[in-house]
Amino acid sequence: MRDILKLGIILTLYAVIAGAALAYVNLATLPKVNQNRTLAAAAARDGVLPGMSGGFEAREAAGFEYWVGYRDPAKTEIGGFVFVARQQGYSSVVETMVGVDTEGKIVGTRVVYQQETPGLGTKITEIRHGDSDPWFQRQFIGKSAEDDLRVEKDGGMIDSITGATITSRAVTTSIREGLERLQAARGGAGA
Amino acid sequence: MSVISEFTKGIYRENPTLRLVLGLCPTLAVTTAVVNGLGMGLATMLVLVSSNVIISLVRKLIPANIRIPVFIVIAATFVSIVEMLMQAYAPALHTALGIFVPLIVVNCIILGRAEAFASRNGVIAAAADGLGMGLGFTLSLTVISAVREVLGNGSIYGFPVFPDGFQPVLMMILPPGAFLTLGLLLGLSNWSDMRKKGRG
Repeated sequence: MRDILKLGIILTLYAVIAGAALAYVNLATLPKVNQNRTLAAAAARDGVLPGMSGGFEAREAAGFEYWVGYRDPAKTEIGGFVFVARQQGYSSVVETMVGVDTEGKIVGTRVVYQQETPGLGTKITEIRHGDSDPWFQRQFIGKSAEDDLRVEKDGGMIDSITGATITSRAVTTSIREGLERLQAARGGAGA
Repeated sequence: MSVISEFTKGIYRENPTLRLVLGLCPTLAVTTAVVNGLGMGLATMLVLVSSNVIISLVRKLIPANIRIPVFIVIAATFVSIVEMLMQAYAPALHTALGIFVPLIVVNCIILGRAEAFASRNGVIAAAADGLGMGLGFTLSLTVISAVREVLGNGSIYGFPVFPDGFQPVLMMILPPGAFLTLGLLLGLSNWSDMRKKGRG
């Protein structure tokens, strides 16, 4: 009995030291981590909807969050919209940032978070040699809510990735639903 | 044994993957592309050296009955620290490695070296052991992932190595490819050993 107590206390001591070390490192790296996230999000917005010198403004309508991009610093001319499409893929929630112009056509996409199977699902971000953008995501450029985006296995026009239909379907479905929600949000706000 | 010999033994003579046959879960799971194999190997090496050094330092303060949980606490702490540092200072690498980094905790090479070596030897020897074993692990992972990436994806380190008409053998980057490659590599290593012994 006494032995168990003694060993328990020693193990607790090790755990407390480890916990303190982790808390310290977490505290020390947190500002940098948050800064990286903010920078990455801003860079992703610029990447999917370029040329917005007026910056972006966050909006929300019926639980749907999106950003409005302005072409001029005075923020009078709306250049387009950005939203994040989210859906459960094969092993993670896949998050794709989508840039849309004022006519509702997709200008750019970028997968901002995924933990899919390496070598299969991760191919949604694969850039083939000699290309400048991922071949899978390129299929969405110029499409709008009217195009009824679906993978070819569901009777649509998007070629899914061999061995990663679930991931391909998650990206496609989330973008389609996002476009529809954006259309509804814009119709409601009159913007 | 000298420090140099403690370092070199992990590279081939006691290679963690080919000789000790430890840490097979990450070996099979992450070797779909060279960049993953190499990154995983290097991150494991960093954790292995750190945990070996600390365990060797406090080895006289760890009661024998609870040594395993203490080793795991130490290893898990270093894995978490490495992950947080990567998130802050190498976000691109962290995104590329993703779930593989936390997986290092359950790599039995870390626990194996703590139990078999670091808890019984001095700090310098333990550091040399960790460095050598980590390097051996990194080399095996790189070789396996190179074979799988070339055959399964037609590229090496992301660069295509075959002309356009090449049809990759998809199976090689799927789980069966991992078992096939590892099995053949183990067989090759055993065969070369038996040949050496046969002559001597």
